Amino acid sequence: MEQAEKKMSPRQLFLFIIQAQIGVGVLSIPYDLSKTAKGGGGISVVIAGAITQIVILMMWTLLRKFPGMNLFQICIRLGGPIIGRLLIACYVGFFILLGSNVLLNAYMVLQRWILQSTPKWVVLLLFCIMTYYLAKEKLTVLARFYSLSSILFIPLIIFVSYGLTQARIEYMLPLTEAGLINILKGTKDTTISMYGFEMFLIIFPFIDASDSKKLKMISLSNLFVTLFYVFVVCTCLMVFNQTQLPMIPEPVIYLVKSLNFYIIDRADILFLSIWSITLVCSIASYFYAAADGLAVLFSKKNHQMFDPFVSVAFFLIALLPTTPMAIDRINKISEYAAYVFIAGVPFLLMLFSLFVKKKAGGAV
Amino acid sequence: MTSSEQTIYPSLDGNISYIRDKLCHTDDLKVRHLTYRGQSSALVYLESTVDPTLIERNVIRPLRQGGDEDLSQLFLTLRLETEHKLDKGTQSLLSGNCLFFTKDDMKQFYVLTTPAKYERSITEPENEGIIRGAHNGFIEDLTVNLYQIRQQISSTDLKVHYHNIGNTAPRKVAVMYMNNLADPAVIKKVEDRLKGISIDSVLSTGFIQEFMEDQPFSIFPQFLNTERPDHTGAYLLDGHVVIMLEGDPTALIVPVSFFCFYQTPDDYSNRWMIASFVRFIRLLSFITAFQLPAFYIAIVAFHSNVLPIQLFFTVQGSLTRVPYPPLVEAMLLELIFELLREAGLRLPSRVGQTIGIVGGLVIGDAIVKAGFVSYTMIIVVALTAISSFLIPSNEMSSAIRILRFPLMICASIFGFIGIAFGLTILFIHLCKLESFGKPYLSPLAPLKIKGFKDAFLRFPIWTIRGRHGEKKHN
Repeated sequence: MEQAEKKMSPRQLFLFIIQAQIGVGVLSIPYDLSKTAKGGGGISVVIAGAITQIVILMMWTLLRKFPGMNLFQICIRLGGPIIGRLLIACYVGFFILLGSNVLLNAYMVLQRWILQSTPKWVVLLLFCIMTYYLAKEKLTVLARFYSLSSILFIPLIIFVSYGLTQARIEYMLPLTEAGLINILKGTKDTTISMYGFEMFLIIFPFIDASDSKKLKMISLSNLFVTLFYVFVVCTCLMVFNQTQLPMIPEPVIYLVKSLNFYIIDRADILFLSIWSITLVCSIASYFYAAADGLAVLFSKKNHQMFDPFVSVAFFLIALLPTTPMAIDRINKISEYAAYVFIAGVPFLLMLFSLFVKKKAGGAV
Repeated sequence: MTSSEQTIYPSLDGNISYIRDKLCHTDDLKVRHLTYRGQSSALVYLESTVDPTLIERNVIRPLRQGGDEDLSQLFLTLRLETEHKLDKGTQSLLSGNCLFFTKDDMKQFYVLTTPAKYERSITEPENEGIIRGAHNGFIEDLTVNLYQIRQQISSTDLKVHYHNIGNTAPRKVAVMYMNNLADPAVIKKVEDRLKGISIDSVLSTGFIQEFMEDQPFSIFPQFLNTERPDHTGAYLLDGHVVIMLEGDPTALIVPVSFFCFYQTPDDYSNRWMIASFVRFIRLLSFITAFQLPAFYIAIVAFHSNVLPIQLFFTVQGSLTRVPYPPLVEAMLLELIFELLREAGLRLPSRVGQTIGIVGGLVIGDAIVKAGFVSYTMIIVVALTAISSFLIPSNEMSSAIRILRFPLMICASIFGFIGIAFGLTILFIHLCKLESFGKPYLSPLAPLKIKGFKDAFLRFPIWTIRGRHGEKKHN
């Protein structure tokens, strides 16, 4: 089977990034925001979207300087063989950590709502099998599957918009009740759920479009995800008032649970089953990124031989934390690591690339 | 094909005894002695493969009338070749040729085509009947099949390429394509894989299919089978490549996508609204054909609270008498149904009607009254069966029927999450699958909006102009 990466189209890029970004965070955003931003949750999400857009812009300026190279190859190019390889190893570790984090949170949600008695390792094994089967293929297959599973957004949006029938706008108002500082604090909580666009760094050279078109597409993805989150958050803020919200850790699922269609009573089970496919897409993106990094690290053509190791790493890291404090600790570590690796390191690389380019006069 | 260096013997008898030996002294080998230009000659043929009228008229009569011309002018057969390798000549005896040796010229012998033809008449294939359109179908003779295709497509761009496949008992295979439409990469792949087949004898197109498939371990077929010339012609005009085997009425079409298995010629003969509706129903049956039992098991075993309260009472009420878990109940009934279906293929038609009624009554009613299965399960199995037979292609329908069982097991272990798991694995597999370079799920993934004009619905013919955006040269 040829593993040569063919290119994916801009439309596939759009759906790819959306699927990679939307993960498990959105289910509990309204709850996290109720502690800080209260009614202004929607504004927090919008600001978070703007921040991610700036980060995307920064990544884009870095990437377009090195046509045909993705993040890992840029690391080697700019950092030299030793520092570059070290950087790649850190990135691989980061992607594995973040992917395991999503996997762990996915398990927690499923365990709380549907699979209460299933042992942890069984659920993790299911997810690991799905992600392994998906991510060991070439990028175009991933893109195809992501585009296919994007169709599942339609029932998701329908479910959530049904909640608007119970909405009361006064629960959300006044918008700036908590004050600007708290809204900005809420932005911090929201940015964690927006991660996924860093896949852009990995798949950039494999897209069949001009640089500006790529930027346009990924900005559109970010916009879509931001709007989707705003929609979900506002719906929840309008359905539950501020005394109820701090008591409901996953307001979105709780909202869907209360809905009553004619043939389905408990829509949240269906909702979560459909949602788990989106989660698989998110985890698979990190899986693919980690495996690709390992392939570049060991100078191999394709990442097939590293996939089992990455899979086992995901499984073990998600299996380890058992207490809520341990889970909280992993969440915190992922959060801080993300600040460093998604914003910090690309920023440094970008500065370095400007500097290096000027010095060498175009040929690096 | 083994080719020996044995050339023609200088004596007539030497040649005849060599041929007799090679054919294991078979009784249907006949020799007729004649004279030509005053010298003795021999006509060797297998009486089971030749047409006696052709021999009498085109070979024996000209010789009898005492012609003196060169043999290549004398014989009236359609094709006439000279050979000096005896093995090739012996092989050609098997295809209905006769060999002519003459003492006048012992450096070569003549191979004359005088084949017998016994064909069945051109009738509509049983498994691919349609309401409106042509009712002819392929038969076992390759030449007649090519004739039917050329009647469909009278274009100078239609190219036929013959191959001989099989080591000890070779058979003729024809590869057909439109020279200006088909993708040259696909053509090359087809011919390379065809030449790479190494087997004693190709008994059916199924052999060719298994040798040439991209993923023989996948449950989904990557070749489309059809016995209809109009269907084949339509695919040829779309730029596909067709493979046909001598002696098998099935045509193999590549490259195919998933949606090709859901198309019938009826879709294009009917008006577009009706055709769209029927096409849509057919694709909907894809969902019910393998998921319905799994949904039933998941709901009954784990998620009974998904059903509204009245439906819940009905379902649970009929289940109270069943002594074992829903998975066993479902498996039992599904297996009984598979047994019935397979037996139905071999029942003589007169007995079939009676057994059908008895089976329906017994299985349907008595098994529920006895408390082995519930009524809901019968409904589920019946709907599933009907949906799986809606699929025009037999291979795809079998594939989907088999998929029911793993999905049922997933549902019985994990409920809805199990179904999500099973479906994810299935769709990842479908996304991976490629038939000769063409993605299996196109136009759905990769998304090609133009291709949607003929996938889920059938848009009017005048909008489906051009081909579905595949790679094509010029």
